[in-house]
Amino acid sequence: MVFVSTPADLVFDPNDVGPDCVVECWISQGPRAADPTFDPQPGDRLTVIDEDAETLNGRVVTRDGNRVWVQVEIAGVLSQSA
Amino acid sequence: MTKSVVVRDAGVPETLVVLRMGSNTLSDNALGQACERAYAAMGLHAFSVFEIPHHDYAELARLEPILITRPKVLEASGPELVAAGFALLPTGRFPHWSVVVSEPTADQFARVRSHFHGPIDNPTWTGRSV
Repeated sequence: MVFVSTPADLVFDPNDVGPDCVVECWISQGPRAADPTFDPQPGDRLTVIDEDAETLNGRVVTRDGNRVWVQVEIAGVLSQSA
Repeated sequence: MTKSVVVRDAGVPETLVVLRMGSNTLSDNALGQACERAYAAMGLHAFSVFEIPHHDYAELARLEPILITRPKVLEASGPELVAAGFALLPTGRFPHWSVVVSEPTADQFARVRSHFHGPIDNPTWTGRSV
């Protein structure tokens, strides 16, 4: 897959977002898979995008190599404690 | 390597309706990526859907707040998916389910996609973006 631009840092599946608004993303599946400088760490803010080009802001909560767990920000949801 | 799949004690009710958020999330690309992640976690090629409790979108939005960010959704009948040969596993926390495909191929994706109706308007969509 070739991305012409990098509209977001990671791709996510909205159907994998849990009640705590956390979703697992894979760096290898995302727009920045070929970017060696991309090294998200817990606490980092980034953007995630899905197949419908819906973009959400989020914060990294956990990282395990290629796998990154991001808590997405949803307008109107007051509490997003994991 | 052996994988353990944790499932909830839940049968497929007659009226189970499952939902896939988004209008393009059943594309070959999206399903291929979902199957890749599921295989790494469970050793099964699968993708995620949500049960609509009693067909009440507001209740689903309360359980899964991400729903309010999606203008469109796709719906399928749980029993119809099972009758068509797709295993439906109650994985994760209610109302999450996994739809299992035998192999992550374009043919299988087209077959499972044919059971989803829509895209239809999401009545809980807030119309707001972050």
